[in-house]
Amino acid sequence: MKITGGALMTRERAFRTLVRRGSFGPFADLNAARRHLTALPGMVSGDLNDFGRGGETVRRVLLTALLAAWDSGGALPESTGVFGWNGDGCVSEDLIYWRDYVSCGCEAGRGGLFVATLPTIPCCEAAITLRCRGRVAYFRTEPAAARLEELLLAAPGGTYLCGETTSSSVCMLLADTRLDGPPFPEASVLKEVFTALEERP
Amino acid sequence: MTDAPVSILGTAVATAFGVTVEENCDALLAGRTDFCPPRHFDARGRLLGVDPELDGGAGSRMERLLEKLRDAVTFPIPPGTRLFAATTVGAIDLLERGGKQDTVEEFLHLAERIFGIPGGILISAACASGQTAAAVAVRELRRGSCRHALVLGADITGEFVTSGFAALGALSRDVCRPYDAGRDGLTLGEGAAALLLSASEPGFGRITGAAENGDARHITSPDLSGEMLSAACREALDGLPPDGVIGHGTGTVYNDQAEIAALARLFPGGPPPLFSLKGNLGHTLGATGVLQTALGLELARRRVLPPQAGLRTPEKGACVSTETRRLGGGRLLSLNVGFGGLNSALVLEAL
Repeated sequence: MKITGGALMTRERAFRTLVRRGSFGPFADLNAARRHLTALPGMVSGDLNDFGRGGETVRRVLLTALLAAWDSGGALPESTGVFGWNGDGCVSEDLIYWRDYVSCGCEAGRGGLFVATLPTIPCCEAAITLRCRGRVAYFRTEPAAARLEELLLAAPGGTYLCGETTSSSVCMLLADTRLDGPPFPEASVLKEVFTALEERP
Repeated sequence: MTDAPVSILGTAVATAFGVTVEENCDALLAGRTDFCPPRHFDARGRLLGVDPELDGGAGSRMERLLEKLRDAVTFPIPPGTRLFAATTVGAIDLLERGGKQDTVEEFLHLAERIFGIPGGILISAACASGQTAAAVAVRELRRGSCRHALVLGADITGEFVTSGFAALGALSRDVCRPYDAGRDGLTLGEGAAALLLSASEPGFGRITGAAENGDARHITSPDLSGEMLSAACREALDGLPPDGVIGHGTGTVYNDQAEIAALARLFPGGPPPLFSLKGNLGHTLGATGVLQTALGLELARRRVLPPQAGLRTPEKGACVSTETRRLGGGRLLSLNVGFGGLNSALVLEAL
């Protein structure tokens, strides 16, 4: 399996890419990051018309996914799958929905907040934006990157965008499971995989 | 996925209809429904497919559901079995009560403890979670990552999910009527199911194909053309037509329309018989794909499809009936569809 691209967003809204060794930001807010990143030469065309629809997690994932695709050289194959792995899942979105519902006297929830309470929603939003029509799933496993690698290698051969989202970072890697490459470095989180790969020549 | 079939060595279910596959199938064939107002929260007069046996107790309702499922398991779980656990919201009642916030993590921990299998994998793919988990397990078995896989799907009813679907306008005013021309929404339910799979041992059924993909069109609405769902079915069927279809069939206008369109694309000469168990049990979310497989296998063994509960006037193009139908063989296609445009198709055979 070969890692063909990747992007990391930090708590300060700064971005790094894996293959092109790009560094962008930090940005004052996500809209500023969006303006800058989507203007990069050769940036893939993604449907960001609904950028404001999702919560902050979705918007962070969308920007990082776009940058990972850019880092891999452009548009992704339509068959690309999107996997979420570990990280925070949708804990903050669950709390946002429920606290809003309770604060409104438990009379009515907000549909837009409810939809975000599925851990696959950021993956699906990335798939819609990048027009990826492969399989989408969120996995929670023991904290070992080898487990994610195993899941990828068991999946049908192709391109996969894998993401890990926490309150402090978003990391997305593009993997082509049909190509040969070194195994994932030993790591407990995807961000560590990214930084270890950065250090490889 | 067109590799070697994977054997089904054991199935178990825990629903309001009981804890054996046989009594659950008998209930489906009798057209039984158990929709009622829940006692564990105020559903504002809505009817749900609740299991009253799960009421009460200090811990999570999910814990009681998983314990009920464990007690329903009559097959041995070999040492070294890997756990693939599917859910949408997990032990969500803990969050409602101000307790644990990571409800899917808690679900995984509960499943690992109750079934005695550490190191499990949680799979969440919205309402396609169950079948997606089965497909992931099938691939891990084929790859040789494990000798046996226990696929488990479970979700509970509660205020969090009910209020959310109500906010989306997705709930039926009465009870769901899958594939009916007058359907007006889904009815939530709860339940759990388990499958024991092996790539090397013979079983009483098998999974011969599985495929998943995404519409990449809309975050809540399925693609009404059924394009990608039919593509998933085509890949899973691998050229061999099924004798019947266990549909996702939630009873929402859009979901059922997308499924009917997908089947029409796939079978231009006329679709095979279609049935959704949500007319009986309600939408059990992450459990439904595993329930469909476990109960579908028993229906395939009996070579029957139950009458469609809730049906009055079949939607145009849907091969549904209020009568029990005999099947020509024991090969079924099962469908799951989820928010985000997720599609899953699984092919199972009774042996």
